[in-house]
Amino acid sequence: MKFFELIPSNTNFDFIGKFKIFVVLSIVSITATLVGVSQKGFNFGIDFTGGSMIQARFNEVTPIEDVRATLEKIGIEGASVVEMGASHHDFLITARNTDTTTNLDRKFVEAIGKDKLTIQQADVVGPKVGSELRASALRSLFYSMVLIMIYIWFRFDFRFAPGATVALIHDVIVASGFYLFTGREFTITAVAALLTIAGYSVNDTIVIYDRVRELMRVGGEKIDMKVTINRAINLTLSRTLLTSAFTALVVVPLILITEGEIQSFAMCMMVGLFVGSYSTIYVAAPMTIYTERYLNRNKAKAR
Amino acid sequence: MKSITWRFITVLFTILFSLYLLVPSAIKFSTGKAIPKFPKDSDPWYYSYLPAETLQLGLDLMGGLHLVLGIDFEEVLKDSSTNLKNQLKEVTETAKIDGLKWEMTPNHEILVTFNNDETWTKVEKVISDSFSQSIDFKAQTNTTATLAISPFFEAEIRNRAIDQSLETLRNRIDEFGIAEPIIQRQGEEKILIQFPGVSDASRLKEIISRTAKLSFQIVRTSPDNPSGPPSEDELNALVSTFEKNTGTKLSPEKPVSQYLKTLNEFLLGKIPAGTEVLFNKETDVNTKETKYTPYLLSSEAMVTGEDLQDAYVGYNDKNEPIVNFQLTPLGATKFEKATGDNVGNYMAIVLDRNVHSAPVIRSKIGGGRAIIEMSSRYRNPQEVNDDAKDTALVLRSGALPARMEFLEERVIGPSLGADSIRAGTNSLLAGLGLILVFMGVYYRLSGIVASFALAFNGLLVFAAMAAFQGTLTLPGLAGLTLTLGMAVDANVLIFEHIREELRNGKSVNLAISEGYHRALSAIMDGNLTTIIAGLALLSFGYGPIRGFAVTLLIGLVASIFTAIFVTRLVFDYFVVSKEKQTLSI
Repeated sequence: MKFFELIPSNTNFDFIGKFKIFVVLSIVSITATLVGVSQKGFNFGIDFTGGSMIQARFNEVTPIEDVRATLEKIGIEGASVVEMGASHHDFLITARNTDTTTNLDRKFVEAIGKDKLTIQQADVVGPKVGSELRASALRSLFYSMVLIMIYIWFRFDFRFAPGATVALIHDVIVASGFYLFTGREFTITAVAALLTIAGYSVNDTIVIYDRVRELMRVGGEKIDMKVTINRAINLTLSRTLLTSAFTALVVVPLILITEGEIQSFAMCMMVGLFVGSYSTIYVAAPMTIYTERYLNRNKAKAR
Repeated sequence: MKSITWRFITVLFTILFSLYLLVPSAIKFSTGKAIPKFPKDSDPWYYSYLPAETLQLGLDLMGGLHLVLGIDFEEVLKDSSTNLKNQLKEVTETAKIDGLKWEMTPNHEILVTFNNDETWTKVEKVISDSFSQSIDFKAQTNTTATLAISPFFEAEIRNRAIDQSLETLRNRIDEFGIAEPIIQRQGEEKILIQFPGVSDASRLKEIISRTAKLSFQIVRTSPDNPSGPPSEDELNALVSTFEKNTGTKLSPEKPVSQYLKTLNEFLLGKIPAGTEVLFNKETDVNTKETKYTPYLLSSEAMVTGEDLQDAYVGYNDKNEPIVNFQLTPLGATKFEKATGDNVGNYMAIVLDRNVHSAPVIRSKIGGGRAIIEMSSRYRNPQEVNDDAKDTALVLRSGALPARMEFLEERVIGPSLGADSIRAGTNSLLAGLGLILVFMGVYYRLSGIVASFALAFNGLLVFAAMAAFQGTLTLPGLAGLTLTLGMAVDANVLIFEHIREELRNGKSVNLAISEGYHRALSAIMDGNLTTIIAGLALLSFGYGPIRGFAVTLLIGLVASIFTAIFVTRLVFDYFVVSKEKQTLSI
């Protein structure tokens, strides 16, 4: 029987032999993201910082300077004004350090004139809610990672757990780098993206581990871990790339059709799909080999 | 092939049942009317055979107002401990324990002063007999003791405050008349309110934010008596000294409560004990300037909103709107006595710490009827009318236990919602279409089978959400799209395994059963870890993200069913049972 194949079934790339370059690459990208977080920081949305956000659609073409001038006139300092689309009709105004009693949207409408614009969306988040959301976002990220780790420990050999864990952390950090380096607003939807990527990343890793487990069952404990993992990666290569490609197929329309938060979400998912596949091969696999080596050395020492 | 028949029936039943669950939603979205829980005779006959549950659109898709409110618990606790103090005073007076003085400390604790140990022993007994659950002893000296609300009672007070606020807000919003509002507790101490389709928030916010605490208090300003309370000029002078010292100023932008609190702390000792200063506020409609006039009032209220039976809008002889109200019989008696004792004095009508008016008491007022004037000379008629209506409404529906704080406020315009629905559905359909094409190209007939299994998966998600009245949000639609993308993974895994078996020279039938068998553990493990991530998101439990988590979770469970059970059935029916030698995969 013949199959339509993009990736030939009998590949035997030596992934493991070259992984040192990629270990360096991973460490560099993680470090870059972490340095970026400490130096530049995320562009947190008002969900996390507290403040006001208005999405306004003007009936007529309006220069962005006019919007800024109006804001100054009503005494709002340090507000960011971003134009949405290219029609000069839609603006997104974000003002942090304001609270729920400021009524920014009402003042803005009054200053511009009620018949000159429609408020598409207006959000005001108090500082208390902001800090609570920040805490619960971090909490849910942390707990989900711990739970996933426990699950892998439980389902697989503990030799596999460190690899999957490091790959997971790697993916979440690198994917969050998307928000960091593009300066797109980091909102609650971004947390959803990161959590989904965490789930996806582990899913990917598990498929290869599952193969390793299968090969080990057939070949016995004696076979070399390095060879087994390389074989497993080659066997699942087609699936790894296909699944990422199929998921990308649904993510692309989201990027093209939606805008704002959901678009950022989709873009971040795209990054996540890529690093998810990458980390399975170049982070989880080497980590597992290192763990194996470390354990064997300890075992030898014990003897 | 009995097992195939049974599996076929299961799948067919699932499809039909899902469609059945979605019929009410389809009717609701096409006609704009939901199927009632108890259909009337005039409704179509099939209404009584359909479930009433439908898909709900999130506010981000249909537009509306979303509010999260908090309660000023400090105020509640202050009120409760003042209440306790009064009860203690009453109980000890009834028990004829003399030589006691009850006071409130600045941090809302009760300070009792007694003359000897014997009295104290009696007080202690009273407390342990009737107040042991609600009062804790904090500190004690030879002649004083500090009492405070116990943690147990405090928890109860907080709980009760939330319940009472919910109840009051429901009443108010009901009377205001808004379709399908959502008013519920969020977490321990917050209240979530959603008004679908509402975009003008200002008047609703006004109705929600008014505590509606009503009290009648005697005005104590007496210009003639030099040793008595300060005159109006002296009062003004005191207020301006305070404003100069602290750099604060009254303004309509800021909540008054904080200002009043610090002002009255500052005035302690400068005004007679048992009095407080409150303001009358009036805004000129033309200049938009707000004028504040201070009043020195007796802190003790003659009657309060609790003595109110009804409130309604009426008109005075100048045809200006006023609020009439009627006191309960008990309140009327109190009111009659208090007005009788204070003939010639001024009586301030205080609503939410704002002195509305302060008419002079000409004679004893019986019957328990009174009015609030709306001070129309400064505002336009429409505003005065709305104000009178809203005031009557909030008075009728009862007071809130304390001031509500707006923690979060989101308004989504209807056109944005429509845009979002379009964007969400389009990307969902585009994603499905792309998958169908590519799966068809790559796995041929098997790929198309898998794509239909995906569409079935989507159907299951919508049906489950309709059955549980789940809320569909834009992130939810994105989540669903993503789930479909990831659900393909299960079929890709299975197909790759089948191909591998076929390459190894296994027969078609064996390859299929081996392929499904070998892929199972990876599919289960992979889905379960994503389910863990989804549950973490759900526990995060935040509005639209909840929608995302719910669709993700339902989608994952459904995908296990469709990818393993449904596609397997198709293979078993068309390939395995017919002993085909080739497979389009």
